[in-house]
Amino acid sequence: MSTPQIPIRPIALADPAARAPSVAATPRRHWRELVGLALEADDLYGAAALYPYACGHDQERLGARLFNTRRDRLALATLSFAPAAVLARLAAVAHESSDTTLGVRLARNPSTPGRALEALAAHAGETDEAWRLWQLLARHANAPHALLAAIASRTEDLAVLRALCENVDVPADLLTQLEQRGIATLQRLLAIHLATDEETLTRLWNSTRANAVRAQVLRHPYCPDALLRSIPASVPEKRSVALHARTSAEVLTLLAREDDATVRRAAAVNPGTPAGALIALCFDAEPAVRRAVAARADVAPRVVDWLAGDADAWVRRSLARNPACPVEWLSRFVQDEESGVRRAASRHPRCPARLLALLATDDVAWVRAGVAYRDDLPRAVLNQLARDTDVDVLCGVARNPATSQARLARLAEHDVPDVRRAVILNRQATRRVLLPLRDEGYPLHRVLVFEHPNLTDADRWRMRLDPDSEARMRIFGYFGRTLAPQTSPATRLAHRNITAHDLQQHPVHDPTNMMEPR
Amino acid sequence: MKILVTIKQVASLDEDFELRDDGRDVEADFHVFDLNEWDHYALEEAMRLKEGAQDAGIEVVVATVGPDSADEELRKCLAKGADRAIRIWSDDLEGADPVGIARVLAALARKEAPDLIFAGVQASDHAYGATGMALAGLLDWPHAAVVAGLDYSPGSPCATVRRELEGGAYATVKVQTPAVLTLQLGINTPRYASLRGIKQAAARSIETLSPAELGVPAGETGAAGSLSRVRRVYVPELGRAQMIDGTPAEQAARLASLIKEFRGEA
Repeated sequence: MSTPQIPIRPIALADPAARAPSVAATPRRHWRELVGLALEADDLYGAAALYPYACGHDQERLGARLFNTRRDRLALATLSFAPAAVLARLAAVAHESSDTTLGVRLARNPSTPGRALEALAAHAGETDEAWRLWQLLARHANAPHALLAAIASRTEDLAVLRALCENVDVPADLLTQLEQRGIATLQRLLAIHLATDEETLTRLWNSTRANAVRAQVLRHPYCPDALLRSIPASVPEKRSVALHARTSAEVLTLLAREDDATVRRAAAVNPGTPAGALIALCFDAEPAVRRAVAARADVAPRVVDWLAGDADAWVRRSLARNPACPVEWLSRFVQDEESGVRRAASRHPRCPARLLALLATDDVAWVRAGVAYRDDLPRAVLNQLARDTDVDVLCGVARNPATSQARLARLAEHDVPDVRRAVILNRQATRRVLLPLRDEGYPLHRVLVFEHPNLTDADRWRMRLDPDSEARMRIFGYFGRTLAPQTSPATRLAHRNITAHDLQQHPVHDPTNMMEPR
Repeated sequence: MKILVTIKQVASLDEDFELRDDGRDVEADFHVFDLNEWDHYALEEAMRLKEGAQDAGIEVVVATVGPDSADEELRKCLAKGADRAIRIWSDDLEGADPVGIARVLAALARKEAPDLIFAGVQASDHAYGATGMALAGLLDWPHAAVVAGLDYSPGSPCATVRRELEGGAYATVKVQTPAVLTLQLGINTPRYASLRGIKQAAARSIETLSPAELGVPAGETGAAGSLSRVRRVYVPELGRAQMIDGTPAEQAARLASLIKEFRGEA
């Protein structure tokens, strides 16, 4: 596809609104074109993307396209990336048309906004069919607290109450109310919930002797200090205490000597376990315990010394990738017989250039790929890897910010889609490299190209006729945000999430001045 | 040389759906249409042969039996490089079973006279796995089902196929051509259509034919030409499954009490 050069002019950031009158006509024209495309092409997804930004007659026309048939309503209700305004309108339609299935689909959609969920609840009723709806509403992360409280107060259904306990957004006071009902099967869920407060956890602890519940209380961030001062009886409880950030060094020392390996492993993971207690764990019979020691952020040089020759490759692998592992040990790991250890060494943040050069010639492609993904590669090593034929290595080169644009342009023509995708994901890829990739066969690639910061809005505008409906929805959504009639230039900038740093890195171009005439 | 690839527009379902009032199918509003997954592989195998022997001048023809909406799936095949697309439909075909569909495809095969016919092993919606083999039976052609590998030189009087059997076993079978092969997933890696191909396919014509134009008698079309009919589609009632919470010991105790309860001992 030939790409005519479009004059590019940086936007006057100091006073974007001041320029609005002179450029207002173009966004209006482009907006009208998008609305026309969505309606004339009978494009459900495109219309949905524009609907939140439309007003007046445009919104009416788009709404007629979106909500006219039950088939389309049902399809939209399942779209997790459908705009909130569309889902909110669908909730009203579900009530007007008494469509229970539509309501259930909306309640299942994670993007349905809180006000739409309230509307669904207001008309849900008490029938058997509504049971599923109540359960979904109780579990929905966008459900307003008032709705969740209302559901809790009106239901005895265990499945609905369980859904409430599993909702991460349920507030602490509601969890307390649920605990006070004394329903045994909810106790473990309440003890898991991160919003459960200390008092409720204490009551849960006192109200049961079930290990499954108590272990969760002991693992909870708000677990009362008093419970962490002694060693409990069961293994799950011990494991929870051993993992807890507020467990004392004395208790952790004792837990590090427990018979159960999972408890010892938990103690080995805990940053609070004193160095003295870790010594014995370095020589633990269970490899999983030694792996946990090797992965600690505070691993001491003498521990590295002990574990570097461990028979378990995963112990050596954990050490080799551990930023706390002294650099001098990496010379040993790059010679390890296990390729996984050598790969781990290639990912060590302070792996020296001479070792990286050695790893770049490794027989195993996965090791060379580990090197290729590093941002701190010497130019010679990167050039050497760029001549590799393995796809994983080439993906690493294509993602590397130091790879030359000429090399990226060649990789952008590679037969394997993974390599081309890696080029697209390279934030340093220039517009010249990216432009041919707008014609990628894979819709996801085209969307990623569309969203690349180095493309101009003029380049993006030429992608508006994408044949893939979901890709087109992303494209229309972007232009809906930036071109809609009520959108000011300042709002356009805000919608595009451009930071001051971005502005310095990539001059922002006003879409209104860049798009080619039709 | 010509390869006929028979495809199907299949309907997938979301979690919540309703059945038709007559109880014989899912309500049409709940159908989400797409090209049958197996057919991507069948087309790719045809394209692989076409591109591997450019001198042989292989023509790849895709065909389907379906209403207007099936054009979308035919265009996907054109976008990937198929030379022609044919859609056969009349309202009489509503309710046709795999044999009824195969009768129409057999009439098309007699008209087009391909050297090979590729079909998917099955369609993902109804999963009969019968159309391809019924087509071979009606044509009285050699056939091989669940083909996971194909070795064929264009113009050769026979093809060697690797059939997938139970238990991870394979059978290597030599088949005389013309033949009907139903191809299994994984036989190749289907391509994505290029953007240029998609745009060009949008403007290409699709040949539309009726069963009558293919010479299929009215008495053999659709339900009349079928050997089976769907009596009822239903979702079985949920079993009485329940989650057992607690520690392993508590769960085991509860399980033991449930077993005793069902045996009438509790």
